Amino acid sequence: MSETPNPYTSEKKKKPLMDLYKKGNFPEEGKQPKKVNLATADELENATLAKRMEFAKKLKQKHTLNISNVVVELPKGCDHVELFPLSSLNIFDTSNPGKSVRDDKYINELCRKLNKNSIVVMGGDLFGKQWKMADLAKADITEDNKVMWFGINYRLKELIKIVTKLLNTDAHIVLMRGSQENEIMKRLDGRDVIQELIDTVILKGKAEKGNLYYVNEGVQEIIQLAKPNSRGKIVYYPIELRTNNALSKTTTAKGYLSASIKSNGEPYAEIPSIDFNGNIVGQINENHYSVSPEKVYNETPVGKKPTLSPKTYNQLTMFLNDDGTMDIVQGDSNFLTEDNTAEIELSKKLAHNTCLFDLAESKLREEKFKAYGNIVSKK
Amino acid sequence: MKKCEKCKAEVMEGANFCHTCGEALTSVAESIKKEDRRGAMLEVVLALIDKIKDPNDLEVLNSLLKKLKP
Repeated sequence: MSETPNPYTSEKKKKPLMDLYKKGNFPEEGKQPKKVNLATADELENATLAKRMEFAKKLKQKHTLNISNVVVELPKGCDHVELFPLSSLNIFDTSNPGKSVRDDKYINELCRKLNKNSIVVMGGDLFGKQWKMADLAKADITEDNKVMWFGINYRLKELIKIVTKLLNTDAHIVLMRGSQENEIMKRLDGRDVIQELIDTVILKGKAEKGNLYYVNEGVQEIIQLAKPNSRGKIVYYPIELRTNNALSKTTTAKGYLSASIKSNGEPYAEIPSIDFNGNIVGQINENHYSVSPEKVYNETPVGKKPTLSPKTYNQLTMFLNDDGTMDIVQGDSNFLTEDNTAEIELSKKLAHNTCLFDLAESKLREEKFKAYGNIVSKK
Repeated sequence: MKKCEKCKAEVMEGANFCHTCGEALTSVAESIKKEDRRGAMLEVVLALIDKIKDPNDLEVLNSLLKKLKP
Protein backbone atom coordinates (compact mmCIF):
# COMPACT_ATOMS: atom_id res chain seq x y z
CA MET A 1 0.00 0.00 0.00
CA SER A 2 1.18 3.51 -0.74
CA GLU A 3 -0.37 4.89 2.51
CA THR A 4 2.14 5.98 5.12
CA PRO A 5 1.27 4.68 8.60
CA ASN A 6 -0.33 7.22 10.90
CA PRO A 7 2.17 8.15 13.67
CA TYR A 8 -0.68 8.36 16.18
CA THR A 9 -1.68 4.77 15.59
CA SER A 10 -0.18 2.14 17.83
CA GLU A 11 1.27 -1.11 16.45
CA LYS A 12 -1.60 -3.02 18.03
CA LYS A 13 -4.13 -1.01 16.07
CA LYS A 14 -2.42 -1.30 12.68
CA LYS A 15 -3.68 -4.77 11.73
CA PRO A 16 -7.42 -4.21 12.40
CA LEU A 17 -7.18 -0.76 10.81
CA MET A 18 -5.60 -2.21 7.68
CA ASP A 19 -8.27 -4.91 7.56
CA LEU A 20 -11.05 -2.33 7.80
CA TYR A 21 -9.33 -0.14 5.23
CA LYS A 22 -8.97 -2.99 2.73
CA LYS A 23 -12.54 -4.14 3.32
CA GLY A 24 -13.88 -0.64 2.85
CA ASN A 25 -11.82 0.54 -0.07
CA PHE A 26 -11.00 -2.40 -2.31
CA PRO A 27 -13.41 -4.43 -4.46
CA GLU A 28 -14.53 -7.83 -3.22
CA GLU A 29 -12.91 -9.57 -6.13
CA GLY A 30 -9.53 -8.78 -7.61
CA LYS A 31 -8.03 -7.24 -4.50
CA GLN A 32 -4.67 -7.28 -6.18
CA PRO A 33 -3.36 -3.75 -6.72
CA LYS A 34 -3.04 -2.79 -10.36
CA LYS A 35 0.32 -1.08 -10.16
CA VAL A 36 3.73 -2.45 -9.26
CA ASN A 37 4.51 -1.22 -5.76
CA LEU A 38 8.18 -1.57 -5.03
CA ALA A 39 7.71 -0.85 -1.32
CA THR A 40 5.86 -4.10 -0.61
CA ALA A 41 6.22 -6.26 -3.75
CA ASP A 42 3.49 -8.61 -2.46
CA GLU A 43 1.57 -8.25 -5.67
CA LEU A 44 4.48 -9.57 -7.71
CA GLU A 45 3.65 -13.07 -6.57
CA ASN A 46 2.25 -15.07 -9.49
CA ALA A 47 2.80 -12.12 -11.87
CA THR A 48 3.81 -12.71 -15.49
CA LEU A 49 4.81 -10.34 -18.26
CA ALA A 50 2.10 -8.78 -20.41
CA LYS A 51 1.61 -9.54 -24.11
CA ARG A 52 0.31 -7.68 -27.18
CA MET A 53 -3.35 -8.14 -26.20
CA GLU A 54 -2.81 -6.51 -22.80
CA PHE A 55 -0.92 -3.66 -24.48
CA ALA A 56 -3.85 -3.02 -26.86
CA LYS A 57 -6.30 -3.10 -23.95
CA LYS A 58 -4.22 -0.64 -21.96
CA LEU A 59 -3.95 1.69 -24.97
CA LYS A 60 -7.70 1.58 -25.44
CA GLN A 61 -8.23 2.71 -21.87
CA LYS A 62 -5.78 5.59 -22.22
CA HIS A 63 -7.72 8.72 -23.05
CA THR A 64 -5.95 11.88 -24.01
CA LEU A 65 -8.70 13.51 -26.00
CA ASN A 66 -10.28 16.85 -25.15
CA ILE A 67 -13.36 16.12 -27.20
CA SER A 68 -15.19 13.29 -25.51
CA ASN A 69 -16.87 10.47 -27.35
CA VAL A 70 -20.07 11.24 -25.45
CA VAL A 71 -22.92 12.37 -27.68
CA VAL A 72 -26.27 13.02 -26.04
CA GLU A 73 -28.93 12.38 -28.69
CA LEU A 74 -32.00 14.53 -28.32
CA PRO A 75 -35.34 13.97 -30.07
CA LYS A 76 -36.50 16.04 -33.04
CA GLY A 77 -38.50 19.04 -31.95
CA CYS A 78 -36.56 19.43 -28.71
CA ASP A 79 -36.03 23.20 -28.65
CA HIS A 80 -34.29 23.44 -25.30
CA VAL A 81 -32.53 21.29 -22.72
CA GLU A 82 -32.33 21.83 -19.01
CA LEU A 83 -28.96 21.03 -17.48
CA PHE A 84 -29.09 19.99 -13.83
CA PRO A 85 -25.71 19.78 -12.10
CA LEU A 86 -25.31 17.18 -9.37
CA SER A 87 -21.77 17.30 -8.07
CA SER A 88 -19.89 17.82 -4.79
CA LEU A 89 -22.01 15.12 -3.18
CA ASN A 90 -19.15 14.20 -0.83
CA ILE A 91 -21.07 11.08 0.10
CA PHE A 92 -20.63 10.10 3.78
CA ASP A 93 -18.12 12.83 4.48
CA THR A 94 -18.93 14.39 7.81
CA SER A 95 -17.13 17.61 6.87
CA ASN A 96 -19.36 18.84 4.03
CA PRO A 97 -21.82 16.28 2.67
CA GLY A 98 -24.01 17.46 -0.22
CA LYS A 99 -27.66 18.34 0.24
CA SER A 100 -28.96 15.10 -1.27
CA VAL A 101 -26.92 13.02 1.17
CA ARG A 102 -28.29 14.99 4.13
CA ASP A 103 -31.88 14.62 3.03
CA ASP A 104 -33.68 12.54 0.36
CA LYS A 105 -35.96 15.50 -0.34
CA TYR A 106 -33.41 17.14 -2.65
CA ILE A 107 -33.07 14.12 -4.96
CA ASN A 108 -36.83 13.46 -4.95
CA GLU A 109 -37.47 17.09 -5.87
CA LEU A 110 -34.88 16.84 -8.65
CA CYS A 111 -36.37 13.59 -10.02
CA ARG A 112 -39.79 15.24 -10.16
CA LYS A 113 -38.42 17.99 -12.42
CA LEU A 114 -36.69 15.63 -14.87
CA ASN A 115 -38.03 14.77 -18.32
CA LYS A 116 -36.64 13.74 -21.71
CA ASN A 117 -35.24 17.25 -22.22
CA SER A 118 -33.20 17.13 -18.99
CA ILE A 119 -29.51 16.37 -18.64
CA VAL A 120 -28.16 15.63 -15.18
CA VAL A 121 -24.40 16.14 -15.06
CA MET A 122 -22.80 14.40 -12.10
CA GLY A 123 -19.66 16.44 -12.43
CA GLY A 124 -17.27 14.77 -10.05
CA ASP A 125 -16.43 15.06 -6.36
CA LEU A 126 -19.10 12.50 -5.65
CA PHE A 127 -17.11 10.14 -3.42
CA GLY A 128 -15.83 12.53 -0.78
CA LYS A 129 -12.43 12.74 0.88
CA GLN A 130 -12.81 10.98 4.21
CA TRP A 131 -12.24 7.40 3.09
CA LYS A 132 -8.50 7.53 3.72
CA MET A 133 -6.46 5.80 6.39
CA ALA A 134 -5.94 9.08 8.26
CA ASP A 135 -9.72 9.45 8.64
CA LEU A 136 -10.14 5.83 9.68
CA ALA A 137 -7.46 6.18 12.36
CA LYS A 138 -9.23 9.13 13.98
CA ALA A 139 -12.83 8.04 13.32
CA ASP A 140 -15.38 8.00 16.14
CA ILE A 141 -16.65 4.67 17.47
CA THR A 142 -20.31 4.46 18.48
CA GLU A 143 -21.60 2.87 21.72
CA ASP A 144 -22.41 -0.36 19.89
CA ASN A 145 -18.84 -0.55 18.56
CA LYS A 146 -19.38 0.79 15.03
CA VAL A 147 -16.62 2.79 13.41
CA MET A 148 -17.96 6.00 11.89
CA TRP A 149 -15.90 5.67 8.76
CA PHE A 150 -17.20 4.81 5.32
CA GLY A 151 -15.00 3.22 2.68
CA ILE A 152 -15.24 3.57 -1.07
CA ASN A 153 -17.32 0.38 -1.41
CA TYR A 154 -20.11 1.73 0.83
CA ARG A 155 -20.02 5.14 -0.84
CA LEU A 156 -20.25 3.40 -4.24
CA LYS A 157 -23.38 1.51 -3.12
CA GLU A 158 -25.08 4.77 -2.10
CA LEU A 159 -24.14 6.42 -5.38
CA ILE A 160 -25.55 3.46 -7.33
CA LYS A 161 -28.85 4.02 -5.49
CA ILE A 162 -28.88 7.71 -6.49
CA VAL A 163 -28.02 6.97 -10.14
CA THR A 164 -30.64 4.20 -10.30
CA LYS A 165 -33.24 6.62 -8.97
CA LEU A 166 -32.27 9.17 -11.63
CA LEU A 167 -32.38 6.51 -14.35
CA ASN A 168 -36.02 5.82 -13.51
CA THR A 169 -36.78 9.18 -15.13
CA ASP A 170 -36.39 9.96 -18.85
CA ALA A 171 -33.43 12.27 -18.25
CA HIS A 172 -29.91 11.79 -19.65
CA ILE A 173 -27.36 11.12 -16.89
CA VAL A 174 -23.77 12.17 -17.59
CA LEU A 175 -21.07 11.04 -15.14
CA MET A 176 -17.63 12.56 -14.96
CA ARG A 177 -14.62 12.32 -12.68
CA GLY A 178 -13.54 15.22 -10.48
CA SER A 179 -10.45 15.68 -8.34
CA GLN A 180 -11.75 13.19 -5.73
CA GLU A 181 -12.30 10.39 -8.24
CA ASN A 182 -8.86 11.02 -9.71
CA GLU A 183 -7.37 10.83 -6.23
CA ILE A 184 -9.11 7.50 -5.64
CA MET A 185 -7.61 6.28 -8.91
CA LYS A 186 -4.18 7.42 -7.79
CA ARG A 187 -4.31 6.09 -4.23
CA LEU A 188 -6.23 2.85 -4.74
CA ASP A 189 -4.05 1.51 -7.50
CA GLY A 190 -6.03 2.65 -10.50
CA ARG A 191 -9.52 1.91 -9.21
CA ASP A 192 -11.99 3.60 -11.61
CA VAL A 193 -15.00 3.92 -9.33
CA ILE A 194 -17.28 5.60 -11.88
CA GLN A 195 -16.64 2.80 -14.39
CA GLU A 196 -17.52 0.29 -11.63
CA LEU A 197 -20.71 2.23 -10.95
CA ILE A 198 -21.68 2.18 -14.65
CA ASP A 199 -20.90 -1.54 -14.93
CA THR A 200 -23.06 -2.33 -11.87
CA VAL A 201 -25.99 -0.25 -13.11
CA ILE A 202 -25.78 -1.84 -16.58
CA LEU A 203 -25.53 -5.31 -15.02
CA LYS A 204 -28.71 -4.62 -13.05
CA GLY A 205 -30.44 -3.72 -16.32
CA LYS A 206 -31.19 -0.17 -15.22
CA ALA A 207 -29.53 1.59 -18.16
CA GLU A 208 -31.45 -0.05 -20.98
CA LYS A 209 -32.78 3.25 -22.29
CA GLY A 210 -29.21 4.21 -23.27
CA ASN A 211 -29.37 7.44 -21.28
CA LEU A 212 -26.30 6.84 -19.09
CA TYR A 213 -22.98 8.32 -20.22
CA TYR A 214 -19.46 8.35 -18.77
CA VAL A 215 -17.12 11.13 -19.79
CA ASN A 216 -13.96 9.24 -18.86
CA GLU A 217 -11.36 11.20 -20.78
CA GLY A 218 -10.43 13.77 -18.13
CA VAL A 219 -11.60 16.75 -16.08
CA GLN A 220 -11.97 19.26 -18.93
CA GLU A 221 -14.04 17.70 -21.68
CA ILE A 222 -16.34 18.68 -24.48
CA ILE A 223 -19.51 16.68 -24.92
CA GLN A 224 -21.92 17.07 -27.81
CA LEU A 225 -25.66 17.46 -27.77
CA ALA A 226 -27.07 16.17 -31.07
CA LYS A 227 -30.49 17.06 -32.43
CA PRO A 228 -32.16 16.90 -35.86
CA ASN A 229 -33.03 20.41 -37.05
CA SER A 230 -36.21 21.37 -38.91
CA ARG A 231 -34.78 19.97 -42.18
CA GLY A 232 -33.93 16.66 -40.53
CA LYS A 233 -30.15 17.24 -40.49
CA ILE A 234 -28.27 16.36 -37.31
CA VAL A 235 -26.86 19.48 -35.64
CA TYR A 236 -24.24 19.24 -32.87
CA TYR A 237 -24.14 21.60 -29.92
CA PRO A 238 -20.85 21.23 -28.01
CA ILE A 239 -20.55 22.15 -24.34
CA GLU A 240 -17.43 22.03 -22.19
CA LEU A 241 -17.59 20.47 -18.72
CA ARG A 242 -14.88 21.35 -16.18
CA THR A 243 -14.82 19.49 -12.89
CA ASN A 244 -11.45 20.09 -11.25
CA ASN A 245 -12.41 23.10 -9.14
CA ALA A 246 -12.71 21.93 -5.54
CA LEU A 247 -9.05 22.63 -4.86
CA SER A 248 -9.69 26.34 -5.22
CA LYS A 249 -10.76 27.99 -1.97
CA THR A 250 -11.20 31.44 -3.45
CA THR A 251 -14.56 33.18 -3.15
CA THR A 252 -14.10 36.02 -5.62
CA ALA A 253 -15.06 35.74 -9.31
CA LYS A 254 -11.64 36.97 -10.46
CA GLY A 255 -9.72 34.58 -8.21
CA TYR A 256 -12.02 31.73 -9.09
CA LEU A 257 -11.63 32.27 -12.83
CA SER A 258 -7.84 32.17 -12.67
CA ALA A 259 -7.98 29.08 -10.41
CA SER A 260 -10.38 27.40 -12.84
CA ILE A 261 -8.02 28.07 -15.76
CA LYS A 262 -5.07 26.81 -13.72
CA SER A 263 -6.85 23.59 -12.68
CA ASN A 264 -8.77 22.79 -15.86
CA GLY A 265 -7.02 24.69 -18.63
CA GLU A 266 -8.13 27.61 -20.84
CA PRO A 267 -11.80 27.43 -21.87
CA TYR A 268 -12.42 26.79 -25.56
CA ALA A 269 -13.48 29.78 -27.62
CA GLU A 270 -17.11 29.89 -28.76
CA ILE A 271 -18.04 26.83 -26.69
CA PRO A 272 -20.05 27.34 -23.49
CA SER A 273 -17.98 26.24 -20.48
CA ILE A 274 -19.60 24.93 -17.33
CA ASP A 275 -17.62 24.60 -14.11
CA PHE A 276 -18.62 22.21 -11.34
CA ASN A 277 -17.65 22.01 -7.66
CA GLY A 278 -16.48 25.60 -7.47
CA ASN A 279 -16.74 27.86 -4.46
CA ILE A 280 -18.70 30.51 -6.30
CA VAL A 281 -21.62 30.23 -8.70
CA GLY A 282 -22.91 32.36 -11.53
CA GLN A 283 -21.63 33.59 -14.88
CA ILE A 284 -17.93 34.09 -14.22
CA ASN A 285 -16.93 35.13 -17.72
CA GLU A 286 -18.39 35.40 -21.19
CA ASN A 287 -19.89 32.00 -22.05
CA HIS A 288 -18.43 30.57 -18.82
CA TYR A 289 -20.73 29.44 -16.01
CA SER A 290 -20.19 27.93 -12.59
CA VAL A 291 -22.82 25.76 -10.95
CA SER A 292 -22.70 24.03 -7.59
CA PRO A 293 -26.13 23.48 -6.06
CA GLU A 294 -25.22 20.55 -3.82
CA LYS A 295 -22.66 22.31 -1.70
CA VAL A 296 -23.78 23.42 1.72
CA TYR A 297 -20.53 25.05 2.81
CA ASN A 298 -17.73 26.56 0.78
CA GLU A 299 -14.25 25.08 0.76
CA THR A 300 -12.19 26.99 3.31
CA PRO A 301 -8.50 27.26 4.06
CA VAL A 302 -7.39 25.23 7.11
CA GLY A 303 -8.34 26.91 10.38
CA LYS A 304 -10.94 29.22 8.80
CA LYS A 305 -14.63 28.95 9.59
CA PRO A 306 -16.62 27.61 6.61
CA THR A 307 -19.21 29.90 5.08
CA LEU A 308 -22.50 28.85 3.54
CA SER A 309 -22.35 28.28 -0.18
CA PRO A 310 -24.70 30.27 -2.48
CA LYS A 311 -28.04 28.58 -2.94
CA THR A 312 -29.01 29.71 -6.40
CA TYR A 313 -28.00 28.88 -10.00
CA ASN A 314 -28.91 25.26 -9.71
CA GLN A 315 -29.80 24.89 -13.34
CA LEU A 316 -28.96 26.09 -16.84
CA THR A 317 -31.53 26.21 -19.60
CA MET A 318 -30.05 25.92 -23.10
CA PHE A 319 -32.08 26.90 -26.12
CA LEU A 320 -30.88 24.94 -29.15
CA ASN A 321 -31.36 27.06 -32.25
CA ASP A 322 -31.89 25.57 -35.68
CA ASP A 323 -28.63 27.02 -37.03
CA GLY A 324 -26.49 25.26 -34.43
CA THR A 325 -26.14 28.22 -32.06
CA MET A 326 -27.15 28.01 -28.44
CA ASP A 327 -28.60 30.52 -25.99
CA ILE A 328 -28.01 29.82 -22.31
CA VAL A 329 -30.14 31.19 -19.52
CA GLN A 330 -29.18 30.68 -15.90
CA GLY A 331 -31.81 29.52 -13.53
CA ASP A 332 -34.52 26.91 -13.53
CA SER A 333 -37.59 26.72 -15.68
CA ASN A 334 -39.62 28.77 -13.19
CA PHE A 335 -38.97 31.79 -15.34
CA LEU A 336 -40.72 30.12 -18.28
CA THR A 337 -44.34 31.07 -17.71
CA GLU A 338 -46.63 28.13 -18.18
CA ASP A 339 -50.30 28.50 -19.06
CA ASN A 340 -52.49 27.41 -16.20
CA THR A 341 -54.93 25.26 -18.16
CA ALA A 342 -57.39 24.88 -15.27
CA GLU A 343 -57.79 28.63 -14.91
CA ILE A 344 -58.25 29.06 -18.68
CA GLU A 345 -60.90 26.31 -18.59
CA LEU A 346 -62.68 28.04 -15.71
CA SER A 347 -62.71 31.43 -17.47
CA LYS A 348 -64.15 29.79 -20.63
CA LYS A 349 -66.93 28.13 -18.62
CA LEU A 350 -67.71 31.38 -16.81
CA ALA A 351 -67.99 33.26 -20.12
CA HIS A 352 -70.16 30.48 -21.60
CA ASN A 353 -72.51 30.47 -18.59
CA THR A 354 -72.79 34.26 -18.57
CA CYS A 355 -73.90 34.12 -22.22
CA LEU A 356 -76.41 31.36 -21.42
CA PHE A 357 -77.80 33.39 -18.50
CA ASP A 358 -78.20 36.54 -20.64
CA LEU A 359 -79.90 34.50 -23.35
CA ALA A 360 -82.24 32.81 -20.85
CA GLU A 361 -83.08 36.16 -19.21
CA SER A 362 -83.96 37.87 -22.49
CA LYS A 363 -85.95 34.87 -23.74
CA LEU A 364 -87.88 34.67 -20.48
CA ARG A 365 -88.71 38.38 -20.62
CA GLU A 366 -89.94 37.89 -24.18
CA GLU A 367 -92.04 34.84 -23.25
CA LYS A 368 -93.52 36.61 -20.22
CA PHE A 369 -94.40 39.61 -22.41
CA LYS A 370 -96.06 37.26 -24.90
CA ALA A 371 -97.95 35.35 -22.15
CA TYR A 372 -99.25 38.50 -20.43
CA GLY A 373 -100.08 39.97 -23.86
CA ASN A 374 -102.23 36.93 -24.64
CA ILE A 375 -104.09 37.31 -21.33
CA VAL A 376 -104.78 41.01 -21.96
CA SER A 377 -105.95 40.33 -25.52
CA LYS A 378 -108.31 37.53 -24.31
CA LYS A 379 -109.92 39.91 -21.79
CA MET B 1 -47.14 12.79 -4.83
CA LYS B 2 -50.29 13.57 -2.93
CA LYS B 3 -53.37 11.45 -2.27
CA CYS B 4 -56.99 11.94 -3.30
CA GLU B 5 -59.14 12.21 -0.16
CA LYS B 6 -62.05 10.43 -1.81
CA CYS B 7 -60.51 7.36 -3.46
CA LYS B 8 -56.99 7.47 -1.89
CA ALA B 9 -55.34 7.22 -5.33
CA GLU B 10 -51.90 8.82 -5.73
CA VAL B 11 -52.10 11.95 -7.85
CA MET B 12 -49.44 14.21 -9.31
CA GLU B 13 -48.36 17.22 -7.30
CA GLY B 14 -50.28 20.26 -8.58
CA ALA B 15 -53.05 18.19 -10.23
CA ASN B 16 -56.49 19.81 -10.23
CA PHE B 17 -58.56 16.65 -10.49
CA CYS B 18 -58.09 13.06 -9.37
CA HIS B 19 -57.42 10.95 -12.47
CA THR B 20 -59.36 7.96 -11.12
CA CYS B 21 -62.53 9.40 -9.51
CA GLY B 22 -62.58 12.95 -10.91
CA GLU B 23 -62.66 14.57 -7.46
CA ALA B 24 -61.75 18.27 -7.46
CA LEU B 25 -58.47 18.76 -5.62
CA THR B 26 -58.03 22.51 -5.82
CA SER B 27 -60.27 25.57 -5.45
CA VAL B 28 -60.00 26.20 -9.21
CA ALA B 29 -61.19 22.64 -9.87
CA GLU B 30 -64.14 23.15 -7.48
CA SER B 31 -65.09 26.33 -9.33
CA ILE B 32 -64.92 24.45 -12.66
CA LYS B 33 -67.29 21.81 -11.29
CA LYS B 34 -69.65 24.50 -9.94
CA GLU B 35 -69.69 26.22 -13.34
CA ASP B 36 -70.41 22.86 -15.03
CA ARG B 37 -73.47 22.39 -12.80
CA ARG B 38 -74.68 25.97 -13.38
CA GLY B 39 -74.22 25.56 -17.14
CA ALA B 40 -76.28 22.36 -17.17
CA MET B 41 -79.09 24.03 -15.18
CA LEU B 42 -79.09 27.05 -17.50
CA GLU B 43 -79.48 24.70 -20.49
CA VAL B 44 -82.51 23.11 -18.78
CA VAL B 45 -84.05 26.51 -18.01
CA LEU B 46 -83.52 27.60 -21.64
CA ALA B 47 -85.24 24.43 -22.89
CA LEU B 48 -88.18 24.97 -20.50
CA ILE B 49 -88.62 28.60 -21.56
CA ASP B 50 -89.31 27.38 -25.11
CA LYS B 51 -92.02 24.94 -23.89
CA ILE B 52 -93.78 26.73 -21.01
CA LYS B 53 -96.40 29.33 -21.92
CA ASP B 54 -98.23 29.75 -18.61
CA PRO B 55 -97.33 33.11 -16.93
CA ASN B 56 -97.31 31.56 -13.41
CA ASP B 57 -94.91 28.82 -14.49
CA LEU B 58 -92.78 31.45 -16.22
CA GLU B 59 -92.59 33.36 -12.92
CA VAL B 60 -91.31 30.17 -11.23
CA LEU B 61 -88.66 29.87 -13.98
CA ASN B 62 -87.78 33.54 -13.46
CA SER B 63 -87.12 32.97 -9.75
CA LEU B 64 -85.01 29.90 -10.64
CA LEU B 65 -83.04 31.89 -13.19
CA LYS B 66 -82.29 34.60 -10.62
CA LYS B 67 -80.68 31.96 -8.44
CA LEU B 68 -78.38 31.05 -11.34
CA LYS B 69 -77.12 34.59 -11.81
CA PRO B 70 -73.30 34.67 -11.91
